[in-house]
Amino acid sequence: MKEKFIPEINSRGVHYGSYTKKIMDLFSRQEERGINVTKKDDRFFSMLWQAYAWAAIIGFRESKRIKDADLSNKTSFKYQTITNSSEDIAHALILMAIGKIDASKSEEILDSRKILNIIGEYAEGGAKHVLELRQTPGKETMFNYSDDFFLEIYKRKALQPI
Amino acid sequence: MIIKDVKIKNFFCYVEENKFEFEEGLNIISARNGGGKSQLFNAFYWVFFNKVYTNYGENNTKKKWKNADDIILCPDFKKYSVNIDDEIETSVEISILAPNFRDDNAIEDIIPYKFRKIIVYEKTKDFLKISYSTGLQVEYVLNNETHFAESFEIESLLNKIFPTSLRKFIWYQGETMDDLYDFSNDRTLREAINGISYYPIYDTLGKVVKLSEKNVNDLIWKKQRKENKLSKEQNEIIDQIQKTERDVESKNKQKTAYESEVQNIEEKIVNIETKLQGFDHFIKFKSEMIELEGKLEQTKERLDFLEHSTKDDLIKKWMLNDCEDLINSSQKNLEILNKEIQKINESDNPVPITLPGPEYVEQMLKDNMCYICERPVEKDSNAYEALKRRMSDFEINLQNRILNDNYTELNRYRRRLISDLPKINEEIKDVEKRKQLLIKKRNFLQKKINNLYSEIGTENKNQLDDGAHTAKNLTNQLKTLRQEVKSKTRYFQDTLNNLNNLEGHLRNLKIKSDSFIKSTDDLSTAENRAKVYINLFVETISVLKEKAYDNLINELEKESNRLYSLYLNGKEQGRIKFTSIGIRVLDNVTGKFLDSLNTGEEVAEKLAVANSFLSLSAIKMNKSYPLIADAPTSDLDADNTYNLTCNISKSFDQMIIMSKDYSQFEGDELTDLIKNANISSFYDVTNVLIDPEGENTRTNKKSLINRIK
Repeated sequence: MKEKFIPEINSRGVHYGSYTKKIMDLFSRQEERGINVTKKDDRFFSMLWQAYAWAAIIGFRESKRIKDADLSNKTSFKYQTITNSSEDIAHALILMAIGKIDASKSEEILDSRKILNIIGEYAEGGAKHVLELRQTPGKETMFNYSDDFFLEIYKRKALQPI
Repeated sequence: MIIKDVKIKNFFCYVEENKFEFEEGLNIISARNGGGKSQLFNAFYWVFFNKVYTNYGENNTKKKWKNADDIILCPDFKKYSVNIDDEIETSVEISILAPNFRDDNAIEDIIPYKFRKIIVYEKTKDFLKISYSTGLQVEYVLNNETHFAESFEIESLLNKIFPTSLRKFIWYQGETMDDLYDFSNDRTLREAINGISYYPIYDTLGKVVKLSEKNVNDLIWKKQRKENKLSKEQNEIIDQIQKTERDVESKNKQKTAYESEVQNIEEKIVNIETKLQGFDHFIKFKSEMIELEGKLEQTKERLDFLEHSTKDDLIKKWMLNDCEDLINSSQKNLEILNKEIQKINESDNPVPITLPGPEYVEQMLKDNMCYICERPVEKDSNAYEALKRRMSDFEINLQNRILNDNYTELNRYRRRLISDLPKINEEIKDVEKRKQLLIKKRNFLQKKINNLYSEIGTENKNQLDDGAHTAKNLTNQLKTLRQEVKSKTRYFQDTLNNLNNLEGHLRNLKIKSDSFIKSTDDLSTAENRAKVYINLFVETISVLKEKAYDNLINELEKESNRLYSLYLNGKEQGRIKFTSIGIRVLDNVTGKFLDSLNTGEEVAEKLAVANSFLSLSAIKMNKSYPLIADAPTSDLDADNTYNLTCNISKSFDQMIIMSKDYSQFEGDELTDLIKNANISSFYDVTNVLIDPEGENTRTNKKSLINRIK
C-alpha cells in the first residue's frame, strides 16, 4: 500500500448495475448541476450519485446485497464526487462496506476496488428492493413524492409520526 | 354680515328638511355629544368651502378637515331605508345679508344672498352613488331683482364676503384652533391686518411719493446740467444716484417677484396638504400593505430556503438515519488494522534515527558509493546488502505509517458518524416544527393582507394602488415645493439685504446731492419748491406707515384685552401681547410671558384675539362678520361657560355658538342664562330614535330641533 486509502478510493470510478441505473433514471435528473432542468423534471435527486448512495443505503439496511452483480456501468462518476458533496455519506458507505468484509489481514480490508464493488452490490440490491416495493399493490407511487423519502427516513427510528 | 337662516336636508344626522333661524346677537345651538351641532358647523363649511371636519374613512377616531367630495353626506337612516334605485337629495341652503359684492365702494349696500348646494344620491345594490350634484349656487337680490352668480364669479364672491385672511376668525373650530393661529409668521399677521384695515393704502401712498421724488429730482438735475451749473464730481454723483435708483427699482421688482413666488408656492403647499388629507388612508394602507407584503415575501423565502436546505440535509446526511449499527460493524475489521499496527509498534524500530534518510540511501545504492565514509560500495557486498536492508526498513516503516493513518482516519469517521447520526430524528422534528411555524405565519400574513383589502372598503386593488400612487406623487410634490420655498426665501432674503444696502447707498448719495442742489439754487424754481414738499411727504408717509402698523397692533391688543377681561369676568392674570414670536399673555406685574394658562384662560385668549380682528374690521372697514364657533367652551367648567356666555354676547354683532355645554343648564338656570346673556335665539338639538320601538342604531336616529327662544 503506497497510497492512503481514502484518496485512493476517491480516485476510482463508481461502477453500478442495471437496477441502480433504473433507480437513477427514475429518481435522479439526467442533466446534472441544474443545467436544462425544467419544471417537469422535478425528480427528487438532482445528481446521479445521490440516487446511487440512497439505493446503497437501502441495500445495506435491508441486507439486500446482490453478490457478484454485474456492475457494467463504469463511466459515470468517481467516488470523489460523493466525497466532495457529502463526506458523511462517502465515509459511511465505506465503513458499512468494511463491516461486510470477512478478513484477517489489512490488505483484505483496505482494498478500494473491493469496497466499491461491495457498495455497488448493495446499491444493486437496494435498487432492486425499491423497484420491487413499487410493484407491490398499493405502493406503485412510492417515492414519487418528496414526502415519501422523508417519511421512510424518519420512520426508521420514530415511535411517533412526525 | 348677518346669517339669517340655514335649511339642512338629509345631511348627516339631519333627516329631511330642518331649519335654523338666526338673529343678530348671540345664537346658541345646544346639543349633547352626537346631537348634531358639529354637523351644523359642517353644513356651513360644506356649502362655502366644500370641506367637512370628520374622521370618515379613518381607522382611528381623530377628526380632520377633509375634502367633502369623497364623503357620503346623507344620513345612515336614509341610506338603509330607501329602496334600490331610489334617490336621496342632500341639500343645505344658507341665507345671509352681506355687502353687495359687485361694488367695493358700496359697503353699506347690504343685500340678501342664498348659498345652496345639492347632491342627489342613487341607491344601488351595494352602495350609494352620486347621480347629480349642483356644486355651489349663489343667488342674490339686487335692485329688487334676483340674480344668480356665474360659476366664475363664485370664488371672488366668497373671497369678498369671507376674506381669506379673516376666515379663520369667522369659523372657530375649537379643536383645530391651534393649527389656524400662526402669528409667529410675520406675514400671517400682516395679511390679517391688510384684511381688516386701510393699512395697504400706506404702501400705495409710499410708492406714489417715492416716484414723485424721483421725477422731481430728475427734472432738477436735468435743468442744472443744461445750465452747466454742476461740477464733474457732482455730475458723477447724479449719475450714480440714477444708476442706483434703477438698481433699487429692479431689486424691488425682484423682491416682489420672489415674495409672490413664495406666496404662490405656499398656497400650492396648502392645497396639496388639503388634498393629501383625503389620501391619508391610502398612504396608511400602502405603507401597511408594503410592510405586510414584505413580511410575507420574507416568510415565503425563509420557507423556501428551509425546504431547500431540508432536502439538502436529507441527501447529505439524513439518509444515513439508523445506520449506526451498520457503520459500527466496521469496527471488527478496523480492529484487525489496529492489531497489525500495534504488532509492528511492539518490535524494535530497525531504523536508527541518526542514519541518513531514504532518499540518501537510495542514492548511495544507485551510485554504489557510501557518502558517509566516502568509500565505494560494491554490489552484493555486505555493505551493499546493509544499505538494501536499510531501504527495506524504510519501506516497511512507510507502510506502517500509511496503515496507521488509514486506521486513525477510518476510526475517526466511524466515531464521528456514530455520535452524529442518532440526532437525525431530532433534527428532522426541529426542522418540521420551524416549517409549521413559518407556514402558520405565512397564512396569517396572507389573511391579514386580505383583511386589509376588505377593511379599506374595496376589492379593487388597482384603485387602492392608484390612490397610493397619487398620494406618493403629492407627497413628492410637497417635498419639492417645500425645498423651493426654502431656496426662494433665501433668494428673497438676499435681495432684501442687497436692497437695504442699495437704499443706504442711495440715501448717502442724496445727502450729497441735496447739499449741492441747495448751494447752487434756492427755492426760486417750482421744482425745488416741490422737492421740499415731496421730501416732507416721503419722510412723513414712512413714519405714518410705521405708526399706523403700531397703532393697529395696539388697537388689536387693546380690543383683545378688553374682550379677554370681559370673557374672564375681570379675573385675568395677564394681558395679551402681539409679539414677533406669536401672541402671548404677559403677567400683569412681572411683564413676563405666562406659559401655564388654565384651559378657560386659553379659550378666552383665542376667542378674544379672533373677535378683536373681526370687531376691528367692523370699526375700520365698516364690514362686520359673524363668528360661528363649534365647541369653543368644551374645555370649560359650568361657571366659566356661564360667565363667558354672558360676557361674549356684548362683544359681537352676531355670534352662533354650537356647544354641548349648555345642556347642563335647565329650567330657571337656563331661563336666567338666556336673559343675562341676552341670547337672541336658543336651539336645543337632540338625537332621537326615528322608530321609538326600533333598535338603538344610527340607522334609526335623527337630530330633532327645538327652538327654546
